[in-house]
Amino acid sequence: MDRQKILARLHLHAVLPVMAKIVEFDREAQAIVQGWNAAIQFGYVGGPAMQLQFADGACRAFRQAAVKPDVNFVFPLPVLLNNMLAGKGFTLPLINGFWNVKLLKGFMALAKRMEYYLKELEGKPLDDDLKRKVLTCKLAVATWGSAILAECDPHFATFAEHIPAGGSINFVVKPDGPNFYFKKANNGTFLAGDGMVADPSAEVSFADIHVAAQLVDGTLDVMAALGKQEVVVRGLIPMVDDVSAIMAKLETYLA
Amino acid sequence: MAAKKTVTSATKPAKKTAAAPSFQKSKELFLRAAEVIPGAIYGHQSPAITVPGSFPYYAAHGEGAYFWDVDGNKYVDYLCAYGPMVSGYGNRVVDDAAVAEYRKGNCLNLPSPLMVNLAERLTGLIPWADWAVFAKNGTDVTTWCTLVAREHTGRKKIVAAKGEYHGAAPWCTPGHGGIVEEDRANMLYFTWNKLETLKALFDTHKGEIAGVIMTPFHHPSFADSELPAPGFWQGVRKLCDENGAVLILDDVRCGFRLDMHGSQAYFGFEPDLACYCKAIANGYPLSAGAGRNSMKAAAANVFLTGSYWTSTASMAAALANLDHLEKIDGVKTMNELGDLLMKGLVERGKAFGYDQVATGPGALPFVRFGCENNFMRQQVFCAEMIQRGQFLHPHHNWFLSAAHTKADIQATLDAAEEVFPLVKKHFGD
Repeated sequence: MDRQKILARLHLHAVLPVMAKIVEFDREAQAIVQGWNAAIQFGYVGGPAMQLQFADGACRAFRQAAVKPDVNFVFPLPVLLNNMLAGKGFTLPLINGFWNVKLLKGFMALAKRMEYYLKELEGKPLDDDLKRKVLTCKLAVATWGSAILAECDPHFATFAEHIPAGGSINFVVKPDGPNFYFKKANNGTFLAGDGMVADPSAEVSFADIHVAAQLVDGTLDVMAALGKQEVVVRGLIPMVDDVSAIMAKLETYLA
Repeated sequence: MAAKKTVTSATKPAKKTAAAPSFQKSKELFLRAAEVIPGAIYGHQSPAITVPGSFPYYAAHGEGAYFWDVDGNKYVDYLCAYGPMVSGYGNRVVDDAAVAEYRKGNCLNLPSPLMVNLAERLTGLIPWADWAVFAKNGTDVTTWCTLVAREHTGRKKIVAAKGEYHGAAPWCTPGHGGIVEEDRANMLYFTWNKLETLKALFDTHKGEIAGVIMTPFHHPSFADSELPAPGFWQGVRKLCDENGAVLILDDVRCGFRLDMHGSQAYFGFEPDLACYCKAIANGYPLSAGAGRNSMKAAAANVFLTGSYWTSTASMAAALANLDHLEKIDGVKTMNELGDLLMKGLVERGKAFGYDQVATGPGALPFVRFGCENNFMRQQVFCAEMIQRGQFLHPHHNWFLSAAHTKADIQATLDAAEEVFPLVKKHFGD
């Protein structure tokens, strides 16, 4: 799969689903979606899609087309979708009706909230509450993004091959989360999600949100943190090593 | 010279008391190290690949088959410094030979006669070898041997078995950092014991393969060891001969533990080049490459050097150590004791309902829980054994030395008898 297609899949299935989380905890986002009862779909011609469904002040993310969308961002090429989601340019999709124009404008405001958590707060001092929110967003992107790269990027084929079918890792932030899992299904596909799987192949636990935040920001000396038990790895360590190597390269796509 | 009196009787393992052994000094040192050393402890000694917090981080001293950590905890050592300790820590025969050379000047402008003596000793010991060269680490000689294979054949590609460790150079490191695709552009991989996968590579890359590098048996980390199937090595030799490729034996880990004449003697084949390191000098830094006459011209053309590679103390240590191992039949001791350890752990595991999987030859055994693939029981088991003074690595093959005794094995098995029920309780098995 070429780089633009991989990046598009990262945007669609790793980054955009974070919107659902942001609507869950961000008051400004909640105010924006108040009263919405609509679906917005994203994709490119011949490629995968994703859909955000808004109802009752909440947002749900689907990594595929689900219901008939009210606004459908179908780009002729993955690069155009990537440009829009990276804030590098915008090709207007087909829009019908006043409601859809309002929805589109609202979504643009919502996208700003996502940018706030994923980009604008980088390197700024944060209180614990905000740090947890940023961490939740970034860990979600990291785990799903790693699953996508494991599956699609030929550079990681060797790592992906090492990971045993059915193998899973729980990423646990102590004491209260957020927690995510990464999994290679028995059919060889990769996925990730909120929470933990039972009987994982490995578990990576972080002493607190500060350690986990350092990891996702790339400022943690991981080996030292392991020795200090700020990060504890149990189980199949080579699988953690492989997934970590993939995770570390996410930045080359999403920076 | 008489060997220093070594500790020959292991006391019963200390029952774990209410307070676990302290690793306080280890942890304090680690915190200091983390400030001034990336990763604090890097490479294979990093705590990350044991059970951090339950294993000591820093060693204080060793004697015989034991070592003490900086907090004063004593261990029966089944890792043997990851292999180099083969005749016992502080072995006087070896140390005296090395110390005498230190007094004379260890690193001079020119090589010493010891280099010639050691090359003659190795070529005398290893039946197929006609020459030898010296370096410091396993990676030095594995890497150099691949270059010799390329020089000899005029070809680029090197074949290795999947999952095998041949060192820390870009072509073979298991690490990810700083590695680019071009580093491995000429590497090909086959599956150990699957001769047809090696044949397929030769068929696909006809006339391109310079050499095949392999360990005597398959001993990857986080997996069972695998001995060569009957006819496997002979099949590898035949494929190399038919395709004009050089067969390189990476005997770094196994050399002088399976057979004093090299591990090829144990498994019944002959390579073209071989690499030795860990057990050669009982902990003094030395590695060696050996080869046939047919490789000699190519070997002479491949630049080989390092600031300390002809230093004399390690060579004196190697000469003394090889003599000592031969004299006491260290190989026999290591393999017999390792067999006892494996058998004992399997039996004790069975008594608690565990089907332990014991693999590898006695001198380099590995035993794990057969009921799991994620090593979680293994990690708890080894962490508890550490508490009882038994240093068993949860993921890496173990090593026996000629300094271990039956009493050590018994102490380890006694400790295991205490630990199996704890694992059972921990996992609710």
